[in-house]
Amino acid sequence: MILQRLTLDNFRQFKGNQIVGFAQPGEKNVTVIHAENGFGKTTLLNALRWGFWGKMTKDMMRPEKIITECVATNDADANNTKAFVEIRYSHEEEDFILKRSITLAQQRHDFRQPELELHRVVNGVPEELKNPMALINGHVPEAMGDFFFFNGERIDHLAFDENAHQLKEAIYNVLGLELLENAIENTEKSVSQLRKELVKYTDHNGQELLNQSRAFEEEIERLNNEVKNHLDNQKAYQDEVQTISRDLEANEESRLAQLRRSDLENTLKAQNEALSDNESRIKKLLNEKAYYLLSDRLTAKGQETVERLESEGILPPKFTTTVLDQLLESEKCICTQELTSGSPYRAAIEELVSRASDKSLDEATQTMKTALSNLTTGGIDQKDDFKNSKERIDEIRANIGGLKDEIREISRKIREGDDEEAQDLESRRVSLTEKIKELSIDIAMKQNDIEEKERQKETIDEQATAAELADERGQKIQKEISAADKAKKLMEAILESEKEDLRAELNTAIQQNFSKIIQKPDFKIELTPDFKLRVTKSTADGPEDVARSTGERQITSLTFIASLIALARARKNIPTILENLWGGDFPIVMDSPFGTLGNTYRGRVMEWLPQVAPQVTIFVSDSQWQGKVEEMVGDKIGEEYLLEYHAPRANELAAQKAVIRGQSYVQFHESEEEFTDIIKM
Amino acid sequence: MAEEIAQSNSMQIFREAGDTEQKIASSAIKLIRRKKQEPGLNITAELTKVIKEITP
Repeated sequence: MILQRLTLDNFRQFKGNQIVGFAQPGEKNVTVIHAENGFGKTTLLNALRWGFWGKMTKDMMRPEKIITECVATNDADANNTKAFVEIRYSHEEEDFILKRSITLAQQRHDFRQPELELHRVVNGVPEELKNPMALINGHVPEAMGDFFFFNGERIDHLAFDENAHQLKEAIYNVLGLELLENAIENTEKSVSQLRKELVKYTDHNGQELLNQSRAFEEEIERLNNEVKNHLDNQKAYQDEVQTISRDLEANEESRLAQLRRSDLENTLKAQNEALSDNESRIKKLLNEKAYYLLSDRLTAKGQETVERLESEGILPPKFTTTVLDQLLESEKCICTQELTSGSPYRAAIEELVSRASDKSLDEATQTMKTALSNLTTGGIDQKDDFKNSKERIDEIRANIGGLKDEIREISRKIREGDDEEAQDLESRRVSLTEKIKELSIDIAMKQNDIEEKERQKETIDEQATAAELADERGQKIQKEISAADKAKKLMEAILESEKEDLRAELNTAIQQNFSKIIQKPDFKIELTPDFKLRVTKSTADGPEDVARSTGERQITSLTFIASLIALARARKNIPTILENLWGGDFPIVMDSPFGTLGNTYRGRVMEWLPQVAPQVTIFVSDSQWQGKVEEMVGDKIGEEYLLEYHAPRANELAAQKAVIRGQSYVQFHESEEEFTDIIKM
Repeated sequence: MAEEIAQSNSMQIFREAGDTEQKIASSAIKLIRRKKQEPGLNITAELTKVIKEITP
């Protein structure tokens, strides 16, 4: 999906009819919108979200006020006063026009029920389409909103482990794996339907099994819905915690404490990841090499026994018959004594050879002794490894304990401080954090329960399907169920294979892109098999998890998004069972794209981003624009705009003029009414 | 590299499956794609029909 044009009509502070044209894919694929904070950047970003999905981000104040306030006055004609957002875009080589509108009357009744039209443009003529919302979600799913239209200062949350499911969802959506997932789900539903049909042809036992299967199915569905609700609630609480954290940072009383806590929490996350890695390592060691750790007494006993048997002459001596044969052949002993025929020395060696018996016993004895020796050496190595891992785990646990204590202490100080606002915020934060933790526990329990019930259901289904039926129609349905089940397993195997292949491709892209921005050769990023973004640093003891700063997490998240979008472009060229799969082109629209990044990182981001994403739109303030960004973006700008803000007074921190390529532009005008104009440059 | 991987993994898995399973899987995927253009399509009903037709 590539944006072509955005038209606003009396939408929020954008009074009248205003247009933004977007730079198209190619050499000049960047659209720049210059605007200070408070001049309308976030509203413009939300115009896209509201247009596509009828919703705005949680930080939009008074979301019920969609129509420009100075237009939606009390004496305005409620049925003829309206606002709309029109978005022209292309998707899979077709052009579409989306229009979402709301009248004042509708806004007063329920602002969440705007009207929506979608047209496909065929030979220049718009043709209206039915079910617009379903089609739009097919072009640009709402779940992808955070990945295409986002605030750069808030993007860092994607780099947290707890948001791994969001990353997975994005990958599945953008790279077409969702098709396979849905196909599997619907095949399961068909199987379920066929089992219901089978009931008619089964005996009492068969019916009982099918009833049990259905009961499991309903229970699994209920649990899955609960897990989904919990995840949605968790996300909402996490968003609120982030908002509270920002508010605490903005509060004079709590600012330093909150900044310190952020640092500690980053370090805590890295330590938890390190703990998890080390625990996995020990588990692997125990699974694969426990015998080394547990067999030392047995090994010693074995060696003792072998030595005793050798000394008693029951086992061949320490030298093999091969050695003795070589001595006889050379007619010289290793002590240099001649072993000529008839000599007593030769006779003594020949007597030993006769006692040494056959080669196979020699070889067996030597093999056993080598094995015992390896076990002893290996056991020592593994014990050292185990001991080091255990010590490392103990050290990490101690660190984690210390960090948690310090974080708890910060919380206590804020709650008992002098500032009431900070106290309230902190109390709310504590309460939300508890709820998030409780939900995590419940989710884990429910997921275990789901897995167990799926296993039980599978056993019952196999029994039901295998039952012998007399009726031919019943037999046919059994075959249909069996075939559909196999098809489902086939798709699951394909999904697993494609998921892993694409993850590996994406991982390579993420690593390459990350290193272009971070430029620290000993830092490495990885998208793990469970979709977490991990950053490690090479040390003498192996890779170590890095506690990332907010800026580094922003870069991690941005790297993921851009790499995903770049891979989506290449998706259609990657052979797959999904014929004619079009991963598609997707835009990146970023408000305050650089978050807390310094000038150097900003420059690197803007040098790299237009190369990997087909279409980039950035909303930048004057301070974000100056320096490396202007230098890197300059020759890639396809469209450029300035937001001119009119109001009784501007934010004190907002620059009244923007300096763009050496020229000064007024961007604030004093006015009785508050509104924003979009000026094309 | 991606081409080689995809060719050797998922497409191989598909090729090694039985004819009936291949047809059912392909039909399921086609129906999901159709749904994007025809939101009112009842995939379960259509797929069940297809399974009945395909299964010998």
